[in-house]
Amino acid sequence: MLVFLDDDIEPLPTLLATHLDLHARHADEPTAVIGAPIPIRGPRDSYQHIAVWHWWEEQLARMERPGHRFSYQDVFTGVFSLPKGLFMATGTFACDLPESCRDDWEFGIRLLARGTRLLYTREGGGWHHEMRNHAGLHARKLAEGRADVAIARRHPELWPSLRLAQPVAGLARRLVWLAFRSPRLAERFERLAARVLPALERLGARGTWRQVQGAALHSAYWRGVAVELGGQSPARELRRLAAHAQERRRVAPPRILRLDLAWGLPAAEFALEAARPHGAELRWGAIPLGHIAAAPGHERLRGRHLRMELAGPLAPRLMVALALGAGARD
Amino acid sequence: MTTPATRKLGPALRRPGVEQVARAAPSSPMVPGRAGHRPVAIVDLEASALPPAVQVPRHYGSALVLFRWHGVPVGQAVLPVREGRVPADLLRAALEREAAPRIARRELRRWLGAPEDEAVGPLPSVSVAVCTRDRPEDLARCLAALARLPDTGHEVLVVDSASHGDATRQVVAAHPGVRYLREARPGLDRARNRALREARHEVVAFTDDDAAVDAGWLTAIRRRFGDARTLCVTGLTLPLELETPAQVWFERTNGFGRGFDRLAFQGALMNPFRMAVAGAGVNMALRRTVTDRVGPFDEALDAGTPTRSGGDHDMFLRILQAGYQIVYEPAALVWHRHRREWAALEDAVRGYGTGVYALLTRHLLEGEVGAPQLALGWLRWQLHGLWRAWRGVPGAAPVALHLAELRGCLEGPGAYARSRRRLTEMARAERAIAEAGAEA
Repeated sequence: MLVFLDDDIEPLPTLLATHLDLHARHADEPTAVIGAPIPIRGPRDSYQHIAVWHWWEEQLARMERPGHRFSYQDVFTGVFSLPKGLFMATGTFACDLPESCRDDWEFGIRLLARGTRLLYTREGGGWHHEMRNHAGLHARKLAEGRADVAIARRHPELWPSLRLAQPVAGLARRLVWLAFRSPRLAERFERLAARVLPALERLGARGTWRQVQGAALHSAYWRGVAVELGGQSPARELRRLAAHAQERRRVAPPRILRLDLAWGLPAAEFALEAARPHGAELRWGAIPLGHIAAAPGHERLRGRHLRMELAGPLAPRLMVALALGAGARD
Repeated sequence: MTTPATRKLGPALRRPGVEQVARAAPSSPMVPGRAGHRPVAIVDLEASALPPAVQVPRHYGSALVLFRWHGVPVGQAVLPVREGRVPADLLRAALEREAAPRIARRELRRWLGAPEDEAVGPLPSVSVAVCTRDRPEDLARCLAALARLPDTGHEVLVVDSASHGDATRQVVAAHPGVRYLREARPGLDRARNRALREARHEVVAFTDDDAAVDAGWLTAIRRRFGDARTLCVTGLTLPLELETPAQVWFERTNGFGRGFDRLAFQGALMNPFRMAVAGAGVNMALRRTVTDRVGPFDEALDAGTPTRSGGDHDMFLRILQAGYQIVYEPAALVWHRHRREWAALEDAVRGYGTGVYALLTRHLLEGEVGAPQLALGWLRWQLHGLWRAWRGVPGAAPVALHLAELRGCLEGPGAYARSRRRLTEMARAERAIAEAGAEA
């Protein structure tokens, strides 16, 4: 068994025992365990520290929800364990990503493609002493932009899940334009923002601080994207990548399972567990309920995902179907 | 009066029921009299077993009906009382209008075997704290309600904030198992800090002596502390009675209810000066570690000091400023006895104005730009309210209430300065006594 720990993780005393126990209990199929990097708070934290802490806690809360469907973006290898055989068979970490950024995501993509079961544990985590300041975070965003392009080239099917594929509007759109057309001007804007942020913090102007920081990091990310895309026209290269991704999805369409919930929930869950499809089309007898999306980069559907999906966006249609179904029975 | 922050919450707080209560009370532009006033009955109804009609004493003109679904509050409505009955057709229509989507959601989650109220992670242990001063009758009712809570291994503390006489101690003595703590100097925040220091459990749940908790209160609070970001949980507070015009107007203008949907206020994402939307001190629970994370309650604020209120909202503000989360949980229900007399209501509203501006003064002194922004916004909103009241716009609060609050606001900064000075003097005196003792 391999257990990976980042150097800024202070392991909980329960870490090893929890990981070993989880692997022993799920020995029936290839399994990797993600431990929680529990962020630490101090009494007088900076806005930057609060924002980073909040981001981490949000990620952990998401993974803790029952029925959470893991994606490669959940794979944080700072506290991470898997059998050595699985690690080797998956092909170890990629060392050629720009500044080794997103290497955990990239490994996660290959793990999930093999159908590996992912588990999350807080008890098997550690205290995360993340000390990154604005300059560190800024450098990280630049690297993330570059790494996302590298991932898009390597795994075009994941294009829709990457930040660079998300539509932007307003100021964010203008910043993308600036990063592509005049990276030096964009860099100047980021430097100016870095100088303004401490003053905003001293004034207690949280809202403005968040906006300025967000804009600076957004600009840095897109500058990173532009650097990695290279060439005379990064925008054209980006469009070419998007077209390639679409083509790839046409060639290998996701596997969708048709499910009728009138069979009963346990039967539907069993069918999902047996087929492990990418997505599902749900109906209640003759009433269509909707889809569980074949989200790229997510684990294939399991029985345990069904109830949470039904309690989410599908809930209004399901309520109608239940009411009509009950009416028909009456 | 609700704060501008409260107004911004939008439809969740605009309860049509309360509008109707207000209309039931006669209003003069200055002070509504008792003439023609008909009290409002409070009806607590289990909607899964709706009765054909609800009987109330004949002197009530209307009824504030709380709908529950399997014990959990899901909506409320104010309905007319006809010959001592709330007709069944009105009940059903109101239930459909006010609570149907929540009931449907609950039933769906139940069908899916994933109940909405399920906790994530282990439940924390709780100390319940009641801070009281010279209100033994109210305290007796409060303790009786606490005694009806299911046993969750919790403890109950009563912090007596320098009451006169021995009546408070005697009321507590009648409830074995309740811990009595005496604070020699008055001050609600001082008493709250004492409770935080003395509590034995991980979470301290506060309620006021003029409130009575619902049987499901503590369980609902405990379930919401699963997220590490949550430092505070607040709950739904409804009126215990609406017998007098003062109580009706209090519910309308200052009511503590925040709706029937669970809300999470995330300090890392919102303007912390909108803290008033999160709830009130009558129904709040804090992790005991709050003192390490954001500091103790400010003892220059709230009842028993010149600032008269604001301690709870100052705590909420600091929790949100530090990026933590406050969760509003409507299943954590408390019934509050509003002030019965008009003079007491005016006094309370004036105290709220003083408290808000006192706490804004504190944060202005700390260099927060949000403080003057909120102060100006509030003032503008109050002047608008006063103008509406003066013009006799239907539904506007009486002029007297607006004037009382405005007076309180103007007193706020001075009250905070006096309160701080008094604290400093007291600390100096205590130090001198301690030094004299040491020398002796």
